[in-house]
Amino acid sequence: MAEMVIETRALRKEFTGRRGTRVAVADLDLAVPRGGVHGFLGPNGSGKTTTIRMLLGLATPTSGTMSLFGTPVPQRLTEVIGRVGAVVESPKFSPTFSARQNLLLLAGSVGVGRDVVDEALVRVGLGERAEDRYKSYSLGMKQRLAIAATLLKSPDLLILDEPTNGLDPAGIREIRELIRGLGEAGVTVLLSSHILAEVQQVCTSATIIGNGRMLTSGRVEDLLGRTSYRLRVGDPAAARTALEAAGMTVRQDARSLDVVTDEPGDRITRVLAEAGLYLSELTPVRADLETIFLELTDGDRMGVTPSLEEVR
Amino acid sequence: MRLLNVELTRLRWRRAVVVLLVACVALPLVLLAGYAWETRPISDADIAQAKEQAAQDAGQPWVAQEVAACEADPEIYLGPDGVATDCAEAITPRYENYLYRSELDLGSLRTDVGAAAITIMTGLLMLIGTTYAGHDWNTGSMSNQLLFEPRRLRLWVAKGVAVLLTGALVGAVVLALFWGGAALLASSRDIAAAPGVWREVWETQARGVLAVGVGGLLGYALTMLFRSTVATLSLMFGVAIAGSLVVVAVLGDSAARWLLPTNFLAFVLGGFSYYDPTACTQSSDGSVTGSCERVLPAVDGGIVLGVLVVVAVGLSLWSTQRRDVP
Repeated sequence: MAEMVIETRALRKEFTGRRGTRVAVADLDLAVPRGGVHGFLGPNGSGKTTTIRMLLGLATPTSGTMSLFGTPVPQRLTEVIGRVGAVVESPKFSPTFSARQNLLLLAGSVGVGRDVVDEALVRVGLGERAEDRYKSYSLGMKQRLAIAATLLKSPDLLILDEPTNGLDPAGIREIRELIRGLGEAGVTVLLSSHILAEVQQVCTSATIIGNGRMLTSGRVEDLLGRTSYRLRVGDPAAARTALEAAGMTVRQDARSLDVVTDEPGDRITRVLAEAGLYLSELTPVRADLETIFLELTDGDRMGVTPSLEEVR
Repeated sequence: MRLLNVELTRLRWRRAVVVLLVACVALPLVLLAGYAWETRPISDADIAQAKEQAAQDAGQPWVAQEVAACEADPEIYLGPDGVATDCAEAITPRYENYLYRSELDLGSLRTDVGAAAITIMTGLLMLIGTTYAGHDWNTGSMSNQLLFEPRRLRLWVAKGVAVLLTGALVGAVVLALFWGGAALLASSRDIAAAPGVWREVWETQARGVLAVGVGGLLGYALTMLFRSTVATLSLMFGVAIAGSLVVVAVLGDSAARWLLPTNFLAFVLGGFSYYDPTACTQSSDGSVTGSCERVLPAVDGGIVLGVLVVVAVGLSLWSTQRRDVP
């Protein structure tokens, strides 16, 4: 069994305010295995950042347990925080300090030397601009500086929360390549994102959450492994009945049927033939994460901040 | 220790902090320079200028009129023993009248300008503590720091000690410069301190150093509690402007005892006289006799201030430990 770098059990976070109690994370079970880039996917407001903040000790869970490298957190966070680099939401540095000054202060708090700071700056491509003030940086440079800060600790686990938010296409590509490179270098990366294509391109595994709950989790290949088929048949209604009776999920529109199944395509032809129905067209359609996500969330959640459950 | 070094560096690198520290050094010395100027010895030039002014005023018509009136009825001007021949000398302006100037007095320097210097430095250190912590919250870098040192209390203490030490160090250095300058000044003017004055100065200086350092800590602790520079500054200005009014409105005649300035000055100066109507004694004819003043000892003032600081620090620590970090 793979070693879990991140594990949560029934993790829950409630915020109490004037308008009652909101549940941001609802009994979340998250497991991130060692190695590779793991996507943490969900719409805005689905509880990704809150989960990350709890893992890093910035927020206290209402209930549930968490561990990093098998060590319970936040109780023993100090034992493992040295192995974790993180960027939570936007990069956060002192705007009037230079990039090097900002990193030197962070490095000093963990006893890391100036050489490591310079190395990290070079690694993210900021070596030439290290003396410039942080406030003069572009958003992409700020993101890179935030990643450089995470590298000060030579982390085994990197948690990146929406690292490409607000970047231009070139910046997005830079950051993705950096993340991919870190993953290939043996660092486990938890990449939180609401951008499906990003997760699909960069991640080896993913967890999808919605409304603070885990919807599905697994290797991206496996998540995408469910192939659907688009088919045309003379009597769509009869075909739907036959396929559903055979345990397949069928969606019907005016001209065709979409069938979602883990079984090979010849099983569809056999079921229909046994019902006396013959296909005029059968097209395999490989699902992408967006399709999976829309299926999991009834098709109406992506990019929309969902209302959080009210606890009565 | 490592964390403390980092926080001292962070403090030193903040430009706003540096500006406030420069003000901390400059303002007390400016006050001392002002006092030195106001108490400067009378020079020949001053005497010449006074003589010129006296001669000019002596030529004014009202002088001759007053002298004539006096000579007509000297008793009104000079008392029962007055004689007309003394009127001209008594009424005509003399240059000595234009040369009044206080002499440097180390005792009054301690209670007036010295106390003002400590008050100003304490206020500035409160601002330093506020801007130092507020910057971390405003920029969000506090959460970044916690990703490297997740023990919140440890981080709080490191930052607090950095502000406290900075305040105490600046207070010690500036007050040493202040009183060193005052001693040199007195020596250059051949003025000796009254017995016991230097002991009072040293005690005031020691308590001043503590007040300045703790002032910084208080500003820091409040900002860590409110997580906002603006909120802390609003509270500070609110207390400065409306605090006394509220205390007076609530406590009435006994308010002065509980006013912050009264307690602060009592602590710094080793005791402070304040107006207390209940201290007055009323004679049988209804008139008030006595000074209507009480002396608040340093310990009592220190206890009031100490309680306020302990409450603020306690709430700040509790909040830091319990609340989520944005």
